[in-house]
Amino acid sequence: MLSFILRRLAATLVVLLVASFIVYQLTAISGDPLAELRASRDPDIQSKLAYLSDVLDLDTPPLLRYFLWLGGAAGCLVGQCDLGVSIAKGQGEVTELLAGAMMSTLQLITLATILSILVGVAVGMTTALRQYSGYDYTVTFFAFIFYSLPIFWVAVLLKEYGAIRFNRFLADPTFTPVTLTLVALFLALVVTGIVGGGLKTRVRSFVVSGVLSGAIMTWLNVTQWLKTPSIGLVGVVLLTLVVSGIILLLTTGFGQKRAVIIISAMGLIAGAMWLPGQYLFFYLTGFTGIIAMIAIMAIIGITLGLLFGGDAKREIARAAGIVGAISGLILVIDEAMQYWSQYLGLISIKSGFVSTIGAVTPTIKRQDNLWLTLLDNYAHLILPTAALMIVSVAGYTRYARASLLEVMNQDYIRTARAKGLSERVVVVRHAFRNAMIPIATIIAFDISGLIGGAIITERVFAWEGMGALFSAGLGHVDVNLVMGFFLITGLFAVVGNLVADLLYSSLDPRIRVS
Amino acid sequence: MKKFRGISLVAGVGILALTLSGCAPTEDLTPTASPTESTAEVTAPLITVGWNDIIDDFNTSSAAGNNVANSLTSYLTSSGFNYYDNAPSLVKNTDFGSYEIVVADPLTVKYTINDGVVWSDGTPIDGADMAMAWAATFGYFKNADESYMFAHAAPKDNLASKLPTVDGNSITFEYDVQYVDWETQFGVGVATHGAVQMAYPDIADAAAAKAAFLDALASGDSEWMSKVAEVWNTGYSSTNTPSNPLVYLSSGPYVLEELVEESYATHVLNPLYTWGPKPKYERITIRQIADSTAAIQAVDNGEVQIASGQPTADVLALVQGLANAEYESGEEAAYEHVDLTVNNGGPFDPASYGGDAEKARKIRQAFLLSIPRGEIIDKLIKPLNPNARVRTAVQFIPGANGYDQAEAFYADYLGTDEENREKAKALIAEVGGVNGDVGFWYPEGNVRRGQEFELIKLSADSVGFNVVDESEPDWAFTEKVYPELNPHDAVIFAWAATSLAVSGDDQYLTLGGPSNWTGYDNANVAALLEELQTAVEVEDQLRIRLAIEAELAKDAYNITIFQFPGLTWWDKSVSGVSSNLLVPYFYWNFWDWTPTAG
Repeated sequence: MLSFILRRLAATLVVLLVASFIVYQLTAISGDPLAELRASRDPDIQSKLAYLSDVLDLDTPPLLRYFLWLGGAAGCLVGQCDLGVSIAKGQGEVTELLAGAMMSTLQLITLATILSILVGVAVGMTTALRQYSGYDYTVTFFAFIFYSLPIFWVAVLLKEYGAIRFNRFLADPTFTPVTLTLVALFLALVVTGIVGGGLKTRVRSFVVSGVLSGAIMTWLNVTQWLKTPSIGLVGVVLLTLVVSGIILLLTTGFGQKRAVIIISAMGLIAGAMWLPGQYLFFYLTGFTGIIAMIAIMAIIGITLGLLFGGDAKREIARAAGIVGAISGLILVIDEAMQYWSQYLGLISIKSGFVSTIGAVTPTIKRQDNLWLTLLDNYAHLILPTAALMIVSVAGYTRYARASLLEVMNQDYIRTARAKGLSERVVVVRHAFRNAMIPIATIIAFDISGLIGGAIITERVFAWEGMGALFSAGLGHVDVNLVMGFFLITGLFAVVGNLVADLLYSSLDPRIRVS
Repeated sequence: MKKFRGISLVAGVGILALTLSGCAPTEDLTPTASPTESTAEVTAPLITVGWNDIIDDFNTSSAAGNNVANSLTSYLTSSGFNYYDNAPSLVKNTDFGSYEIVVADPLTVKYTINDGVVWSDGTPIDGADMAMAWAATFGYFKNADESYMFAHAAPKDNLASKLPTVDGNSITFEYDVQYVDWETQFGVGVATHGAVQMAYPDIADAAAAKAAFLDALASGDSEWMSKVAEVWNTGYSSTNTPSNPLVYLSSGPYVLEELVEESYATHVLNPLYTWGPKPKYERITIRQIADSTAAIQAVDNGEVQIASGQPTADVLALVQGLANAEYESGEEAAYEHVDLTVNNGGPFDPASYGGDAEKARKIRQAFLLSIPRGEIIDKLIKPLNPNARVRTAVQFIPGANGYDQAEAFYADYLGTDEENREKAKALIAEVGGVNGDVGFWYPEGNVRRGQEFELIKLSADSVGFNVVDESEPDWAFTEKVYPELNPHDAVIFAWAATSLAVSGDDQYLTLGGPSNWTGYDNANVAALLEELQTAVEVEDQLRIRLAIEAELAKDAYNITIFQFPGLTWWDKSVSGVSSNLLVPYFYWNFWDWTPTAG
């Protein structure tokens, strides 16, 4: 195992060296970094040109200059990085620029990646279970459309409709009867497609979901919920119950009465914790409060499970703990949303909240309030996250579908069914876990790609991450900056590959690295 | 029953918690909106403006800090003896201080800062601050290896070497030569006590720091000075809000409040500022937005109030589609022109006509006449800037003092494209034909210049030239300085004038100048440029520059075509925005930005 990793790392070093040489030369010969300045009629331009030529060693031919750069980069191994200065970014140190850009890129892609995986896997696996249904075809159709959409176009459209127009709509968020009917019909169609079944079931799910979504939208109209959204006591209880249902489905199933009762009780407890929670957040400010809330709810869940779980207490405790942690998160979100109107008063957008540029609102950052900062992060992340998700969800959907379909045709699934296990247990316990193995490796590889792959998203949303650095570097023939970018993304790609290989072998006992 | 006990316990806990929560007082738990601050003179709390980069160095005079993004924050947070308005012309700011020539020859100038003008920490701005600017600008101190101790962006050690006289609020110094651009050359820069106290933290008192600096300057104490210079060179670089407030001392209407790397810089009103126009926004935030489309959507969404960019047809259409915004099509400092190479044996070189300079001149004039400037403006520029006009002067920006007289020298070129082509045919007929093809260079990949080339080729070929496409992606010819030869006969690119400074034209108008890629050589022009170097009086400068322009026109040196179009757009919630083709662009009159009612 160790020798495998060492061998891989050694090979990696060679690959990085050769690739860095090639990238350096290609960037260096692609143009003249001082071309823009040469066409300046500033009387002092000659001293500026001389200064920059000196700082960037432009008098040394690129073939040799590479080794100067390599010398500085080798310093990173002993903690003294010198990647030179960037001409595109006002002669700033490349190492400093990279550190800042890394942070903001990670901030951008973390949420998008987690959500893409959750949504992509869920949708992909449900389509596999409903193979060749209307739902399956529809998802497949949209997956291919989204997969092939150019992201710069999606991003600009998202800004126009998801931010500018949506914000205007929020000035008076009332659905007209026509919109309301159309949306309700559409949602009813979608739900009917997912649920499937015979004609009777289809009619029933169509009517129920249509009426329900119509009712929800009417309620939104009446309460103007979209203007000042909140969760509230009732919302916390209802949301926790929904979560409880999903977790039950995925873990113990509805057959176990004890599990059902304990896990459903979590909804009630979350509601009971609503007001004490306000005190908690009042006295425990900052992230401590958030962590404490989630921990308390998780502990309540685990304790209940262990105390009253009976024979299956460990399993129930785990499920109740998960439900508890999520309900804690819901309480946290509820607290943040109580700051909604204060937040709206502090931002310069006239109506609505969705932001199109950057990562923070300056006026909010000055407030230094955790809850306002959370809301601000949400307002800024929502669009770029959606843009990144649209493409990756489509991909994950296809992988997850293919993977689960393959597993479902294996012999051990037939064996499991033959043993008389319920379909839920067969899918969740036997098929799902094995179907996740190839997806886990894809995810490891994908994350490394995303670090440098969000170039267009970053540019459109004025998000100053790695991609923005790279495009600035290319635009100004800034070799140092491009090489800094290359070094980081190259490392991530190589490490991502290694992690994917190791993950595969640890998840699948049939594969051994040596 | 075990099961029953479980259920009842769960329910019990729930009910207990619900009951407990019912007793809780709630008023102190719900957040309330904080009252908005209000000041009598200020009429709005905040304006956000876009730019493609933000500040990372607070010393814009240093080699490392000299760029446009830094100069924007500097413009908001400093006062100077003068600034450019959008005519463009240089305007004196007498609320801050004054300057005068005390002796005409040798040129001796005196700068005086008004009483009560202070840095944002309350320390008076005085002669000691200008003394450090003097030492840095004129490269007074040098390291052992003869490099400048103060790494100024444009050090000029040949201009002034005699120590200045500092007297309280004023400084008087003598130039070694009669230097034409003395007026735009000198300003206050960063605070002396700030640099000294950062270098020597033991000096607690600002006055003591200033005194120590003046002593070291007078006695030439290089060792003491080197630490101050080190701070001056690198100590002002900061990508986030600097931890030491001495780094961002302000002498202007605003002072930096918060800087977030690669994101935004917020400036808040300087409470001590009384010298000069009073801005109407309590805070100005500059946000970094590189992409024009993003900046337009940000204005549409209300996140940013003012932004600018280089227009393309798409960008202009988007801006015109904004319901709540206004825009101004303006000009930028860069201007397009075609230069002809006269020493490479091509069709514009007298050598191709048996050394007959007059024949070559006529051919050059014919080629310049055949460039369809009207068509280029109408087809390529007017769609982006409806107010676009032909620029016909090498040294003068349209609108600047002297432009009209300069344009008159080019009377032959001012007709319609059709008339010009007839004149060109006549000139070629006089000479008896063009010797050789015209190798025409334009930067490959630049769409607009590619289109310009097509129009020029069509028109020039019709009068008797044979224009050959020599476009390349790189600008190799700019590295060939006399006596090396520019292989292209004609090149099209843009010069960007960043100030109204009058010196510096020798860089491209004298043989051997670092930007002279045409081989242009005219003894009269060289003599006039020499004279211009020492012409301190504005009238003399204008006379000499017009004389140079006349020579250039007579020699058919080149032809200028248009100013680059610029576009500024702003939300209707603000008025008083106006573009400017020189740095600091639309920021130039930030004190006029006024919130509109409603």
